[in-house]
Amino acid sequence: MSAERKSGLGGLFGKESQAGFDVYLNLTSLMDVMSNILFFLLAAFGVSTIAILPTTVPIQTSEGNDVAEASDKVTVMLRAEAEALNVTCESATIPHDVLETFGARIPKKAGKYDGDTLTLTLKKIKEKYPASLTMIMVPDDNIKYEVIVYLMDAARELKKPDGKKMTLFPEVVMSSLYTGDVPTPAPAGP
Amino acid sequence: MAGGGEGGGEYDVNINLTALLDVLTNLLFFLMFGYAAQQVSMEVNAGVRLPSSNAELAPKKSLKIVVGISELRIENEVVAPLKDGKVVLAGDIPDKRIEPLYVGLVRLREDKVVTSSDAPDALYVLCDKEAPYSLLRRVLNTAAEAGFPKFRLAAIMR
Repeated sequence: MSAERKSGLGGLFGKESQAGFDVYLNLTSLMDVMSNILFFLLAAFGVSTIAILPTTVPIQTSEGNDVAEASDKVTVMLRAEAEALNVTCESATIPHDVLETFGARIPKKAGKYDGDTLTLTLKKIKEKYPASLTMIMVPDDNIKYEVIVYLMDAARELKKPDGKKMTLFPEVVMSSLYTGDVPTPAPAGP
Repeated sequence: MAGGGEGGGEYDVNINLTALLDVLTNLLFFLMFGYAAQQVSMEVNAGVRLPSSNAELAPKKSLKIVVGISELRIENEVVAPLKDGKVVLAGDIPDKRIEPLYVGLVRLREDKVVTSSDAPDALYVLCDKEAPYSLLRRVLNTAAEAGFPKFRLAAIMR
């Protein structure tokens, strides 16, 4: 008997249990706990994963403005109007007539905004002014949040045929046509 | 039956549980690591349907505003009722700040509730996909006035 005990745990579960004696482990509680944890984790894992789209709004400060000043950098303005998208570029240093060539009006296709053309338009701008990152977005008041996210997706990056991604304009400032109400942040607390 | 409570029956049935336990253990570890990697779990309530996005940034701990179909919330506290994408409150002036939202956010800022979050000046915005920009703009502008100029718009990862 002692010799058999010295054989240790060999043969607890599998084929090796053909040793001198069989050990029957009551695995019910272990299986119960594992199944519970498993179902809990599966349920939590099955929940849709949240992604975030960072954005800001223009605020009144004494620190200047969002218009780019470097020669390889522009600020893109995207106006989402009822019937079309309007893309324009702004810079404090590059002449207006040069920037005008990169502007575009992209009409809706079958009642929807043309995200692919928007991406290609922004790609041209990005290739010419590679340091550019900021896009000021001015959606029409009636545009739904879903459409805003779609346009932000189209402006953020371009997926190339080889699978690589080209970053376009990931920094989005949500704005609106000026009505005189630009938020002034509350003073910081003590 | 091996592994069961009724093991004292007339005859025993030996079930080899090795493979099952192996699979369960692997799944368990995989899911536990995955769960631990999630920095924030976010409950989308108030009937909010988020749009899908190809964004890949994961959320971090931050204060949450929910722009639902019928109510506007800060965390789980309802601050204003909504109807047809508009704030339904006596004395509410369209295109001006949403007063209860402003008061609630300023209070949270003064109570330093937000200082424990990863980005104290940023807010999560969980907005229903059908909400019009006119409403979202008011929410964002009000939050900016209350000292939260940065936002993380939430969407379902595609």
